[in-house]
Amino acid sequence: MNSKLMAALSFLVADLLAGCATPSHLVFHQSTSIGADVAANTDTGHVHAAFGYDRQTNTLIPKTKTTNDNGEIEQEAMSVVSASEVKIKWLGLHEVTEQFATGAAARNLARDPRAIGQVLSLSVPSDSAKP
Amino acid sequence: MTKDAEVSDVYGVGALLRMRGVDGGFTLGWRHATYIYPRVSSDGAAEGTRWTIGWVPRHTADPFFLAIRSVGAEVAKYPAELRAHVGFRMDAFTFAACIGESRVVKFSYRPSSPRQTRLSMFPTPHSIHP
Repeated sequence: MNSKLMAALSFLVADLLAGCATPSHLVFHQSTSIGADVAANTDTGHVHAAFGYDRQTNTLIPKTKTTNDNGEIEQEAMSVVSASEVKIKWLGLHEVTEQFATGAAARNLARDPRAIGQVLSLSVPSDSAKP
Repeated sequence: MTKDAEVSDVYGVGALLRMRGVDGGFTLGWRHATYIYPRVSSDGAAEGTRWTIGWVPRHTADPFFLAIRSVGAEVAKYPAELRAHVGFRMDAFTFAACIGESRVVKFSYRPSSPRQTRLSMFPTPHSIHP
């Protein structure tokens, strides 16, 4: 095999393995697969295999360091308030509408039910809207 | 490009090698990826559409949103997972915030009307990724 191709593939494998770390982002994920599918979670080590049709909706929430009442450092899931609407048509993405708050903004919203209601009330731009 | 987002559709067929980015990997077959970046309003770029063939302009930041459709065989690194599949696959990722980041976001996107993509963030982003 061509040495340049081997070098490129080696770099790719190294780069892929470099991704095996604690998640640093809050990620919303939707997926649909038809066929054979194998995935390994680089955070938990969980392996998922599917044959045929598979549909998943996941949210990847990283942990943040917090301090409890005793002054001890703990790991806690990141705060988030979100509303999402994802429309799928014929296996393709048709429309995505999302509204969310994260971190301190989410904690502040959680104290005010009215504010949460505003965040969770999704609005979709109309077809007649100018680009 | 809209007033607050930059939408990039990348079509590929054949053997596709992505050495970096949030979807680095190798695909053999057909692939369509949509990358949406928050736009900093003061960048002065004009709204409009630009086409390129054979190469993709590299963006300085990672995307806020990523949608992928592929048919064929693929090995790729996605957020927090390594994945291999044969057949059809569709993924949509929203990279909402960095760990611990305080942010309020409103986002809407239709593949059939990319010019109507809306992405408002508070605080406004320079890059959602560190």
